[in-house]
Amino acid sequence: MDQELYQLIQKAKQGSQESFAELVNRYKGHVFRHAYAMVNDRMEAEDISQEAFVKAYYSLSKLKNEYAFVSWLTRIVSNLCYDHIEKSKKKTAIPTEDIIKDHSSPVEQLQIKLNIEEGLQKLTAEHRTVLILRDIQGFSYSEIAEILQIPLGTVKSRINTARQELKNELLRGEDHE
Amino acid sequence: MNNHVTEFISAYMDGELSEEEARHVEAHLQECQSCQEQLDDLLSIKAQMAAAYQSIDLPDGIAESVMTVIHQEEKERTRHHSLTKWAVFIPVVLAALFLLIQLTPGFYFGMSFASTLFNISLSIFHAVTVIISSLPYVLSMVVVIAGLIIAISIWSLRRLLETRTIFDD
Ligand SMILES: [Zn+2]
Repeated sequence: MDQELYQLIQKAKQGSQESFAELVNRYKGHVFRHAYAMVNDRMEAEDISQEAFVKAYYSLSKLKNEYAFVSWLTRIVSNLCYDHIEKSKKKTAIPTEDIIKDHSSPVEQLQIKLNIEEGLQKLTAEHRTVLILRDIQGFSYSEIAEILQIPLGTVKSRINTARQELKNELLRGEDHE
Repeated sequence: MNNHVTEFISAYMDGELSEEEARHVEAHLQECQSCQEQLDDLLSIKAQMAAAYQSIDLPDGIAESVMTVIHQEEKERTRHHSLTKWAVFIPVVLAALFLLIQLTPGFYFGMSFASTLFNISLSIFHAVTVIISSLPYVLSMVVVIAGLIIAISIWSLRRLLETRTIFDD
């Protein structure tokens, strides 16, 4: 972390709104990308990003180590994504009967080919999260363990399973072509 | 081929294996078509993941809307803070009034009576304002104190009125 960033975080911690605005500008891409990859909806990802930064502003005083800022911010957005996914699950829960009845015709099914974004949405939120942190945000396994507060071994096996599953989802789409 | 390295492939391509583990995986990949294909597939998925999201457009004005929310929130908090601080003075004012009445029985009676009535209604109004806008524990403290002082004021007023009646006799 460069000295300038360190000072920016410190000033924001002391309540400087100007410094905080600068941090938002630096990390809005990081935060939005994570939220968007999680929920696959721009509007919702924007809401989550805004919420994450406001939350960060009000809990910044609790951040003990300035160097952990990015992991800490990522943990905030990651948790907010889980909350939003849980909420929308409740809102859009469709009775299983309807899903079976509403199944598209065999012809339509043939045309389904999942792109990477759609494939990613088929995974569980936990699997999606580790792939986003690793492949999109570029965190190391130990950083991911720190962000999600899970053991390193779990990160390792979860990333491997998630990639295999994503591969299966993408292949399933291709099989129908 | 036995002992496939399937479970190590992700960690291998992410550079998260120890040197020894990595050598073991590489040796196996040389001999095993299936694991090599698996590695190629996962490498392609990793590349697609990175490519799909690196180029997304950011919505305009995330920073602006965040700062607007924070500004409004801060304004709201300041307002609450000053209201709470101000509300603390209500019991002080009432106590001073109470003392004034006690120390000058009969003399400025009419004036005190009018101003007490005025202050009682004012304090009720303030108590309501406080209920709406201040922190719960500060609020309840203020309301209890204000209520107590109002009660004492009313009681002392009655006593004064009684005293007055006796004097008139
Ligand atoms: Zn093999």
